[in-house]
Amino acid sequence: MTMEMWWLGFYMDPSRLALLVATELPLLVALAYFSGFEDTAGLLDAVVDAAGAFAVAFVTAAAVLSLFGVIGLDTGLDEAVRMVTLQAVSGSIGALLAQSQFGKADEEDRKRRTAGRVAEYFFMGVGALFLAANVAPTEEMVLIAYKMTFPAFLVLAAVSVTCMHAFVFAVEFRGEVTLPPGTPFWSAFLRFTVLGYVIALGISAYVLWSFGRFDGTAPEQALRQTMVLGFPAAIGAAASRLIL
Amino acid sequence: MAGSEELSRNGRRANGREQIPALEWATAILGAVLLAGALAFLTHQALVSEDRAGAITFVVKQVRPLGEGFLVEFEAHNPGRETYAEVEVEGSLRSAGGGEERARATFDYLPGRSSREGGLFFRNDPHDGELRIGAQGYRKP
Repeated sequence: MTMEMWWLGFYMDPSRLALLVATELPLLVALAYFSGFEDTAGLLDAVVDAAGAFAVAFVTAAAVLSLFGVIGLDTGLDEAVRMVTLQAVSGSIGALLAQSQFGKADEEDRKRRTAGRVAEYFFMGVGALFLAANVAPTEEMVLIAYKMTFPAFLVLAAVSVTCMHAFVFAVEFRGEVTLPPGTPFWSAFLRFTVLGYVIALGISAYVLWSFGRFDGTAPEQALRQTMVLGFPAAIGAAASRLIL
Repeated sequence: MAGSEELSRNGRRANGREQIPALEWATAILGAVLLAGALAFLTHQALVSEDRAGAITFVVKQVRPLGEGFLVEFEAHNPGRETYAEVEVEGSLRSAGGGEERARATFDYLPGRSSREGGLFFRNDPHDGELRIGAQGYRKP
């Protein structure tokens, strides 16, 4: 419901939007594979789930945008398709997330355990993308990046990493065994938290670039924006291990 | 491995997975079509990068009395592919007596190949003079 998202629909570079959608596809399939609400074991089922989620997101976005009067019969086709497609990017993740809320089957846990680290990083990427894509279009990202002083960025990085690691402990507390007992602190910290933060920053930078926030911007400013967006993205990445 | 017997017994396929219901297939196919369509559409737009900027055209939709003066409702159309932000529109009304009245409006965005509607307020009667509406400038979003 943010207007910056709608505006991005018509001034965002179409090739970047196409790339964003294409990049999201494998993430969707992986998400569907590891956390659908059926005992889906096969790749085909995951692809079907992912395609279905996109259909739901696309149609819902079109319906809601029409309901709010953002698009109508007099809206140019260019505009409308791009606006709806952009909304469908994060909407499709939401659609798959909703499915996974209906209880995690034992089958899923087994699949995740056997898939190991790679699956965890995929989930982190999805979580980061979900939050980053929703928040990145807003002007506040740019404004906060301007307002923050250099020491504040160091504190922000520390806070982001701390919050992420707190999620690791929350996951363990709930009894999900994702780390073998006796894993030293630094091992979990480096492999999950720090790497997860790097993933979150990478996704943030990619999303910001897609939305044209880096065009003609000094590298220092781009880095500031990335770190600001990296905070919610990091939370999304860490939380995704709990939620997904 | 009881392959074909499994299928008849509980609707599961030979490898133990449930059969995918028809509705799910339909949704998936719809999704694939929308996805492919959107990607093709976007790629086409990205490749067709001829002259992007276009001259904004104006069409007066209605002129009616409003309060002490008059309201000129118009539609601005951007024929190019480029989106303009903060478009300044100025209308000038030259009356028979030689006086000129100006009015301004600003559009947050005027996207490519799209139209937006706006209005200008004048004290003099637009029917009695020569009305011109033009865009003054814009910001790149």
